[in-house]
Amino acid sequence: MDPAAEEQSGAMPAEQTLRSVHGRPTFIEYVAFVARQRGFAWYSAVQQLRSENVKAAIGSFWFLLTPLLNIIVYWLIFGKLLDISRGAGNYITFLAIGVLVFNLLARPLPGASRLLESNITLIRSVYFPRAVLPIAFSIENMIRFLPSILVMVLFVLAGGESVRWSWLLLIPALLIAYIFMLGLSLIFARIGKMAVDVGLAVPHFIRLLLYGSGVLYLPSSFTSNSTVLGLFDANPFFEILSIVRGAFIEAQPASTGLWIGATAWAVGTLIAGLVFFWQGEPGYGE
Amino acid sequence: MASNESDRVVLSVRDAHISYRIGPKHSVRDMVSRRNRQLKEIKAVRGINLTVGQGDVVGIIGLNGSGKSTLLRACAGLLSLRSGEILASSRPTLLSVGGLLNQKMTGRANLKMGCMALGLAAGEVDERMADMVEFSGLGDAIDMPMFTYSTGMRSRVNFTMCTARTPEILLLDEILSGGDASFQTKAIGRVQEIREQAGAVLLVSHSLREIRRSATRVVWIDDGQLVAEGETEDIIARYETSIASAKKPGKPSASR
Repeated sequence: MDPAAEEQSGAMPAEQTLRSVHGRPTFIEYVAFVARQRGFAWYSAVQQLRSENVKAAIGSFWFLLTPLLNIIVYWLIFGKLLDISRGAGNYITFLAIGVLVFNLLARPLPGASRLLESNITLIRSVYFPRAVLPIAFSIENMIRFLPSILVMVLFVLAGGESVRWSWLLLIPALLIAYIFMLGLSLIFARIGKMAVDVGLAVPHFIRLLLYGSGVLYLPSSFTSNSTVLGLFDANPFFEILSIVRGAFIEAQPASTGLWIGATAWAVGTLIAGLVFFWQGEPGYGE
Repeated sequence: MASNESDRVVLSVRDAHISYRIGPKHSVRDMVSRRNRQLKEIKAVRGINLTVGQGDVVGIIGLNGSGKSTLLRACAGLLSLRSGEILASSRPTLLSVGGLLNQKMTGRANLKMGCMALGLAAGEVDERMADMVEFSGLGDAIDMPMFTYSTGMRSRVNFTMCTARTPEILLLDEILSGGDASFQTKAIGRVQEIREQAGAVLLVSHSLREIRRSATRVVWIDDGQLVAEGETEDIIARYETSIASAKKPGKPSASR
């Protein structure tokens, strides 16, 4: 931390300032240190993706196929069989955006909670700010999501929407989604290190979010209870899904409140995530 | 415990205690209640003092499990101390067998990633890549995924990576013993270079021959404590005597 000046060991005349190798840097120092390592984060994310593709011949194809199959299954069950598509406009478009964006936000969580454990050899052999790991992991997920944007556009066009200027809102909307996902990854990475049973609870948490974030249905079509709707509106997952849908679906524009809410959640989660992760910093190699 | 060659201290270990806690992993209950968990504590290092000066190559010898590797990890800031402190003029770079490398990536990608993790910029790494590949002596194999490598080839990549930038303080954990004779010679040469460039080296090895070739002084550790420290030949001779005599009685106990 602070350069500990050497006073008592007067035996060494030329002794220069020695610092503890175990100190935690200040938060500002830490963020600057992480920022200097951004090249490492990008490179390892890209290499990680590349090595995955080496392993499975159709590896990258599955990134697309999985959400596609999800969309079809949900569409059959919830759209056709149970018919909860009320008020959602073109249901398949609504569903496709919901599932794909939800996958971007929630699917990394189990991996994030195992991240420090799966990189323990790296952590134990080289010193670098460990926040680089969740950052690299998020970059990986961000890149992996790119083909999904294409799929989303196809579903939007298939649903009868026409190309509009508001589609450009997709850029800030995805930026917000990325920032939020990064913040969540930082938080889950440390929690997963602190307690293994959290890792086991993560899938249940994701399921709860799936049903409670308006991925499959439009909440306002099912209740007029203002408390319940208020909860949805305050749910960052619902907010982010809504702003992406708002960019694409003409009949469902997102309110300014949703944009403000989503932005606040994203930035707040990132800052909270960085601070929370930094606080665990000297102990990630244990 | 004066360091020779120079009076500038670059690393100072003061009454370091390190222990591993073995037991069930943390659960939510442990996070909520602050009660002591039933964990077994293994005291790996128990009160070691060590001062390393500029230009020193300190050989660390001792039996398996004596705490040598643990001490090095702590010096690199990778393991925290129970008590005591470790001060250094700059963060030491640890080089150990098998660390860091990602088996699915190529040797080249590993070299680049490792150097970046150690703080080199991407551009710098690219500039040095040709030299590094040459030093590693791996030839075309450098572009193969690392799971195809032999242990010796892995340690070549590892060594090349960690010495790409001359670290001020280098910690070597059994790294010279990997690799064949020709690479060992090269690696020892590199250690000398680092030493000459005003660095300091801590060297853990079971090869006493290697210690004799590189070390300027030797520290003997047993059961987490310092047994003796001093002239290379002197300490190695005492160590060898102790091993020889320990073979006859039951327990190899040098200290206590």
